Amino acid sequence: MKKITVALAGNPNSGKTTIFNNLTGTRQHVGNYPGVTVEKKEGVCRYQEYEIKIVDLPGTYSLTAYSTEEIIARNFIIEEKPDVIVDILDASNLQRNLYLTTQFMELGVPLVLALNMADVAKARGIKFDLEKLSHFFGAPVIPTVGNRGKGMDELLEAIIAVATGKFKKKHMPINYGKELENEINNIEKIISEKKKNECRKYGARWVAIKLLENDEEVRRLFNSQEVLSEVDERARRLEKLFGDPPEIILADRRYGFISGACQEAVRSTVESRYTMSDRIDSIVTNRVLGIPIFLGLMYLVFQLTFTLGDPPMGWIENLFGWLSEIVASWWPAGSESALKSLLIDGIIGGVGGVVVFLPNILLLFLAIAVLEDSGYMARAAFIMDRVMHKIGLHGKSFIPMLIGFGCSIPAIMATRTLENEKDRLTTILVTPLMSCGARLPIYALIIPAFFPTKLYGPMLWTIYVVGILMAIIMAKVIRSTLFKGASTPFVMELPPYRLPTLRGILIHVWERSWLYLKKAGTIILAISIVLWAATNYPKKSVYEHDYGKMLSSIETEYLNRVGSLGEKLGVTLDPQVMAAILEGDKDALGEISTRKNLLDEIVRMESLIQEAKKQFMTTIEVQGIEEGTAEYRSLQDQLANTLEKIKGNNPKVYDAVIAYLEEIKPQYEERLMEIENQKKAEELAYSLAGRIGHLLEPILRPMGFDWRIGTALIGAFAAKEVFVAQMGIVYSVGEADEESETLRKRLQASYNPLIGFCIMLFCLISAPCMATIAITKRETNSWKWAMVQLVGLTVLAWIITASVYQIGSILEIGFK
Amino acid sequence: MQNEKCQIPLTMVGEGERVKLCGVNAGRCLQCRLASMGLVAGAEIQVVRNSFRGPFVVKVGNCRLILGRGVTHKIMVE
Ligand SMILES: Nc1nc2c(ncn2[C@@H]2O[C@H](COP(=O)(O)OP(=O)(O)OP(=O)(O)O)[C@@H](O)[C@H]2O)c(=O)[nH]1
Ligand SMILES: [Mg+2]
Repeated sequence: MKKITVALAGNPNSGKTTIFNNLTGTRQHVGNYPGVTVEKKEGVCRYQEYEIKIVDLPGTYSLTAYSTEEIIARNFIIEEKPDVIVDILDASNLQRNLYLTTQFMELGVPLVLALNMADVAKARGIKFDLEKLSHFFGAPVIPTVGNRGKGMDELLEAIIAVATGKFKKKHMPINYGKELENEINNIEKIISEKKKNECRKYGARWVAIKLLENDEEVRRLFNSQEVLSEVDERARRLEKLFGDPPEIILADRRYGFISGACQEAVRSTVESRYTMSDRIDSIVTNRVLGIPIFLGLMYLVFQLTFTLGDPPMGWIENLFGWLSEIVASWWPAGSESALKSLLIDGIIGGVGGVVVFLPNILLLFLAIAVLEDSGYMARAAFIMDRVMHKIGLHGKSFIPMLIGFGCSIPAIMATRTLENEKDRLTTILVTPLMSCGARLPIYALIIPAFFPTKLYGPMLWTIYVVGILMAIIMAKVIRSTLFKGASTPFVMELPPYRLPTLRGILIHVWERSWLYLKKAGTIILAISIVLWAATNYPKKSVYEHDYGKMLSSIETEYLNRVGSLGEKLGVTLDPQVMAAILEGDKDALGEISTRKNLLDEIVRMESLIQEAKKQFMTTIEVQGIEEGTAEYRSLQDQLANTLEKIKGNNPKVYDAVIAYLEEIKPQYEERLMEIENQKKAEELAYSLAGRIGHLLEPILRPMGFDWRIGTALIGAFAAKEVFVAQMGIVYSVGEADEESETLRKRLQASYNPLIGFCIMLFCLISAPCMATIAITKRETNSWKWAMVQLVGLTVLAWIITASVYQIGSILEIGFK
Repeated sequence: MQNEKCQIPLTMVGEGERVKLCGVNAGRCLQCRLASMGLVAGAEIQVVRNSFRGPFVVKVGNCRLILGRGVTHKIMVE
C-alpha cells in the first residue's frame, strides 16, 4: 500500500466536510453556515492500491489567518506539507473561492480543484470549461456534488494522478506586473542568502510575497531586523507608487488573474435574479420582525418538545416501571437487599429517570439540526447583531451561543471563529448560560410537576429566554469591566438557504441521541451508583426511636378497633382473623363455621361498596372530569344513590363496613407509612449524601431548597442530567411505599411551584458541568478563566435564585 | 487609487442599488480580510439590506456578506 496525505482546504461552507465524510465514511459535523469545522480532522480512505490519509481543515478565505480556526488550517498546509491539497471550491461563487487557490499556487503545492456544488452552479446557468480552468490553474478540475456523493471517484483518481506525478501540467506563477515582480525578485535575492532553510522549506518567492504583504507569522519567522527594514522600505516605495499598500495591489492582481481566467473558462447564461433565498430573507431578517420571528420559532420548538415528546415518554416510563417490577420479583416480597435497592433505586430510578427524557432530547436536536442545516443560523447572527453590538460584541458571537442550546462544549469550540480575543473570551464565559440539552431533562421533569398543561411550552420558552437575556447582560458586564475595548469589525458570509436533507437531519439526531444514551449508560450510570451508595451508606444501626415498638403498638390498636367493630355486629372472633376477613382474605373466611351468613354479608357488602367507589374513580379519571364541575357533582350524586341502595339491604352491617373502609383502615395505613417514612428519613439523614446535604442547608435554605435538592445539585456538576437521576434515587430510596409512584408526584407533594421554578433557574445559571469547565480551560489556555466561569456563574445563580425565592415568598407567588 | 469620485461610504447607499467598490479606508488587516472575501477595488456590490441601523447585507458576485456598520463606513464606493 502506498501512502498519500491529502488536505481538504477551501473557503468556509464550501462543502469540505461533506466531501471528507464521503471519502472516509465518517460522520463529521456538517452545517450550512461558515465555521462549522474548527478543528482539523483525520480520516483514511483506501482506493486501489493507495492508502490515502485525508485531513479535513477549517475553512479559510486566505492564507493570512485572522482567527484561531484559520490558523489551524494555514499551519497544517504550510508546516505539514501534505502531498496533495484538494481545494474545495463553491462553484456557484467561483471567483471569490479562487482567490485562495491563487495563494496555493504561489505556495507551489500540488493542487486538485474540486468544483463542488456543481448542482447549484448548474441551476444558476453557470457553465465551466474544465480544460481551460485546468490549464490556467495548473491542476486537475473535478466537478463534484458533495451532498449526493457525485464525483468522488474522479476526485480520488485526480488526487492519485497528482501525487504520483502522472498529471503533468504545472501552474505558472501569477505575474504581478513589472514593478511588483522587480521588488519580489529583489527580496527573494536578499532572503535566499540570509535564510536558506526557510526559503527551501516554503519557497523563496512565497516568502518574499508574504513579507511584502506584511504577514505577521512570516515576519516572525524572519526576525532579522535587517531583512525586515529592507522589505518595509520597498513596501513603502510601492505604496507611494500605487497609492495602496502592496497587499492590496497583490490582491487586485490576483483577482485580475482570476477574472481573466473566468472570462475565458466560465459562461453564465442567466443573469442573477431575485432568488428564493432573497424572498425568505426579506421577511426573516426584517428589521422589525426579525427578533419576534426568532423568538416565535423558538416558542414553537419548545411547544413541540412537549406535545410530541410526551406520548413516547410515557411509553419509556412504563417500560422502566415494568422492568423494575420484574427485577423486584426476583426477591421475595418485602425483603430488603442491597442489590435489589441498587438495581431498582439506583440504576432504574437514576439512569432510567434520565433515559425517560430521550424523546425531548431527540426533538430538541431535531430543531437544532434544522437550524444548522437550513442556513437560518447565519440569519440569527444578522438579526441579533444590533443587540450584540450594544453589549460590545457582534452578531457572530451569537452563533456559538446558539450552538450552546445543544451543548456548551462545541459551542465554546465554535468561538474560535471570533477574531478578537476579548470577544472570544467574553463569549466563552457567557455561553454556558445558554441552556444546553443536558438541562432539558431537568425542565422536562419539573415543569409538568408544577405547572398546568397549557403553560408547559411557555415555561420552557421563558427559561431559555432568561438564559439568553442573562448571557447578554453578563456579556455587557464583562465587556465593560474585564475586557474593555473595541470589538473587531463584523464581516460574515450569509449562505443561501438549503433544504435540509432528511438523511443529514437523521444523522444529526441519531448521533446526538446515541451520545445521550451512551452518556446515560456510562457517566450517569457510574455517578448514579456512587450517589446511590452515598444515599444508602453508612447504614444506621441504632435509631433515635424504637420503630419496632411504635409499629407493634399501631398494629395492636388496629386490631383492637377491628375486634370491637366485630363485637358491635355480634361476632366474637379473634381480631386477627376478623382483620384478615375485612382485608379480603378468602381463606380466613373459609375456616369459620359460626355466623357464616353475617360474615358473608359483610364481605359481599364490602365488595359492593368498593366496586361502586372504584367505578366512580375510573369514570372521573378516564373522562378527565375536574372537581367542582356539574358533571362531577352529578357523578357524586349517582355514587351516593348507589351506596344508599346498598345500605338499604342491611344498614347495620353497612355502617360497620364503612367505618372500617373509611376510618380504621386508612388511618392504620397512614400511620404505618408515617413511621416507615420517619425511619427512612432518619436513615437518609445519616447517610453520606444526607450529611453533606444538611451541611449545605444554610446555603440552600435561602433558595428554598432542601438537602435532597442539594445533593442532586452537587451531582449535577458532573453532568447536568444527574440532577434528575439523583432526585429519582433520593425519592425512591427515601420513600417507603413500593408502589412506584412517579417522581413527579413525589416532587409535587414535597415542593411548591415557586421552588420548582427556582430549581430550574439555579440549574440554568449555575456552574456548567465539569466537561465545560475543562474545555474552557483548554480553549482559553488558562485555569483562571475556567475558575472565573465556575465560581462566577455559581455565585450569580445563588444570588438570583435566592432573590427570586425570597421575593416570591413574600408575595406568595407560586404557593400551593 | 483615491480619486475624486471615490468619496461615498457604502453606508449611504440605499437598498437595491448597485455600486462599484473603489477603496477601503481601514487598517491593512481589515483591508486584506475584505479582499479575501471578494471586496476589492472594482468589485460590483449590490446592497441587499440597509436598514439605517444594524448590519448590512451586500451581494458580491453570487455571494452575500453581512457587514457590520463599522465596516460599511470604511468602504468607499462610486
Ligand atoms: N447543494 C449542494 N449542497 C452542498 C454540496 N456540498 C455540500 N453542501 C452543503 O453545504 C453545506 C456546507 O457543507 P460543509 O461540508 O459543512 O462545509 P465546510 O466546507 O466543511 O464548512 P466549514 O467547516 O464551515 O468550513 C451543508 O449544508 C452541505 O449539505 C453540494 O455539492 N451541493
Ligand atoms: Mg467543515
